[in-house]
Amino acid sequence: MGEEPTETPADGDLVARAKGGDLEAFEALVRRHRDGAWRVARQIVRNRDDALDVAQEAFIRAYRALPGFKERASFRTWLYRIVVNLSLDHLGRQRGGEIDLGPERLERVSVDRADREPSEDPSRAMERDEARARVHAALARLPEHHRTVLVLRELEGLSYEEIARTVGCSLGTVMSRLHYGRRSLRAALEDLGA
Amino acid sequence: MRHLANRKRLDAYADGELRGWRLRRAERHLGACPICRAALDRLHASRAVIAGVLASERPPGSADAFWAAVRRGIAPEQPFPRQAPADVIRAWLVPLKLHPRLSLGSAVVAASLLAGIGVWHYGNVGGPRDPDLPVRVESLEGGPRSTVMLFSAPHSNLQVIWVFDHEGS
Repeated sequence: MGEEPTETPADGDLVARAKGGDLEAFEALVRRHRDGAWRVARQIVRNRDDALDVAQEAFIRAYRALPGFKERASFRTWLYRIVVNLSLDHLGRQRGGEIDLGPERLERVSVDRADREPSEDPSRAMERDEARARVHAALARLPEHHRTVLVLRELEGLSYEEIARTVGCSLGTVMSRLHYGRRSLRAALEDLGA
Repeated sequence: MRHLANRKRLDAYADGELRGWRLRRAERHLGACPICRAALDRLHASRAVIAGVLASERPPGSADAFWAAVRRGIAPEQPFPRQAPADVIRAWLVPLKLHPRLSLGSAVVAASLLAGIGVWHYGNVGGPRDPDLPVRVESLEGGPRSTVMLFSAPHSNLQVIWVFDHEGS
């Protein structure tokens, strides 16, 4: 009557298999955490395509460092730490020479058609795109360290302890950055008319 | 009354990060303070905006293309690193550092091998034979506890200088 339910292997199991050389296990980890890694990078580097490069590089680095991964933290937390560090490096290199558009200008969001439902009303899609652009612009006004902890908490749902491990700071610093980051974000959203 | 809204505890409460007496205190305060309850509502609303708007964003391209790019970045000619070469070497050296007698014993065995080579070599090249001293050993610093020993085979250019520390370092 029914098929046996197939359990989704936990990250820990996939990591153990990947450490043993099972590339399919690592591929499963990549597919599972691709979106989250990209979203974290996206909010730091503020560019969709650059975030894609950063996320891919993060998985490559994670693969090479996998034998040394002690699993004291979750794979996701460990991966996101690599993403955050690479994103900040990328941002630092960008600031070395390129023009900074500044946070005041609404970020031009290149909408990927894959984001849209096929039957979605175009006017609703436009409203959502504009809302998204305002939120991006508001986030862009925040200092990187506030923006980073906000994204890790609001988008990825990491606990305070996981955030502290990811960005390499104390729990008190996480609480402080979240508090002031949220306050600044609310002010920026009101200012931008959200 | 001190308001939670002015402190980070409101955020921690909204995030489910408070425990024990801090949680109970926050709940008691929110039950009695409309200002902090309103601040909590605003906090939830702004969080919903962020999550609702941004959580639906997807990376450009397909998951297959993403994996293909990652796969290319993992160098196929290098086997999956199981242990760094430096770690392997270190793993071999540690017992020698921890066991000075083993180090000394190893040096003696090596010297014996050299002596055997010296005997074989001297026997093949001919010349005066001194069966009592196929390998000459000299202490360069003098004394029985010398740490520098010179092994040399007579009538040969072969010389070996061993430096070992009786103290184990």
